[in-house]
Amino acid sequence: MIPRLPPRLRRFAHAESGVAAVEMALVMPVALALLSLIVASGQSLNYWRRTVAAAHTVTDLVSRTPNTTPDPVIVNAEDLTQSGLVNDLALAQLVMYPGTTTTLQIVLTQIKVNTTNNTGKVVWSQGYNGATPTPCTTVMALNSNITAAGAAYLIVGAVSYNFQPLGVASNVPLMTFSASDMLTIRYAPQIVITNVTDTSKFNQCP
Amino acid sequence: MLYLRTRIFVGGLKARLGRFKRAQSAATAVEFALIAPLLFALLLATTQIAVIFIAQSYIQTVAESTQRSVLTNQTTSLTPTQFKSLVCSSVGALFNCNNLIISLQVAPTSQAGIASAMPTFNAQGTMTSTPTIASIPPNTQALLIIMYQWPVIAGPLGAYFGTLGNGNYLLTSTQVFQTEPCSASTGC
Repeated sequence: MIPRLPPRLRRFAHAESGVAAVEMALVMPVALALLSLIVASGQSLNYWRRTVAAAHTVTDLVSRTPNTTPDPVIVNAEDLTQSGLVNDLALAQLVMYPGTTTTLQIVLTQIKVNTTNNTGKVVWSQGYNGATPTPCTTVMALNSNITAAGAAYLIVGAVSYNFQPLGVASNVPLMTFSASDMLTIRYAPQIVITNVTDTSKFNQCP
Repeated sequence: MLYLRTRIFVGGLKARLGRFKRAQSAATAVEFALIAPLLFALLLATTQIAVIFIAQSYIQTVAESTQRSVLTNQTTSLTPTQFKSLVCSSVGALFNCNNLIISLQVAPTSQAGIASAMPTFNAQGTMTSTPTIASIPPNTQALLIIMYQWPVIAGPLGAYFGTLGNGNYLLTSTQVFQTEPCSASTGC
């Protein structure tokens, strides 16, 4: 048997007044969360797309380095100064405009392709804007179609971007977008980085 | 006489307010009035995000096709006016071509140059830097920025997407690239 409610609660259960206010209180949090979600997802999609574009831009810029100074020691290699490389990375940050361009972290790596087991070994790696360069011990697994294309060396660009979407009514967490791209070198088989003045974020691998 | 009238009025008002408190009719209308701002904010936000996204995607496509023309050195001999009309020819009915902001320059080679290469806007949303359209020689890094001030409608509850002081949303696409070594007229 269901116990009878005390008279006060019985009156409350049957009361009809204030229905609108109670309904509103129920719907409000859900509706506001929905509004925040719509705004945040719209913005996030926009900046995610820019992050992908930045990864492509930085890889494309470095892989298109003109072969104006062939390396004097290594045959079939072109030289690029470290300051030139860093300038390429700084230029790629501009793709994030009108978002903050200075929070885009970039790691740019040249790998040597090993066709026998479809992997890539790090030749050199430059970190930019606080990013850690790829360690020399890293072995990157490659798609067999990439190695079949015949390139001896590849440029790998990886970027990451922290983005805080606008929370209209609720707090939306900070998002981190990452993207990477891999391209063959356009005007020489490989790129040699010269005039290295800052080794803190640069790995030259044996 | 005046005292009596006031008494009657106050008495009538009290009765009216009492009736109003107990009234159940038009409760739906009152309820809707409470929900309406939120509902309209949601509707407006959804529609505007969709429209902004289409426009952003469009300006990205325009910038990419312009970038291809510059990359392949087909625009080297064009004057700034000719270059602008080339860009406009690929812009559809979505944009007013006169309001399209185009900047094409040789990519800066220093940190300070990079900082000053980007456009600036004041608190009123007016552009304070002057966009220039330069001729880019072959085998050169170039910086192309295409922008448009997209008007947005401010919705209730702060659902407002304007990014500039004048309430407009700044659509932009930035392209950084290296032009090909071959010239369009003489080849390699």
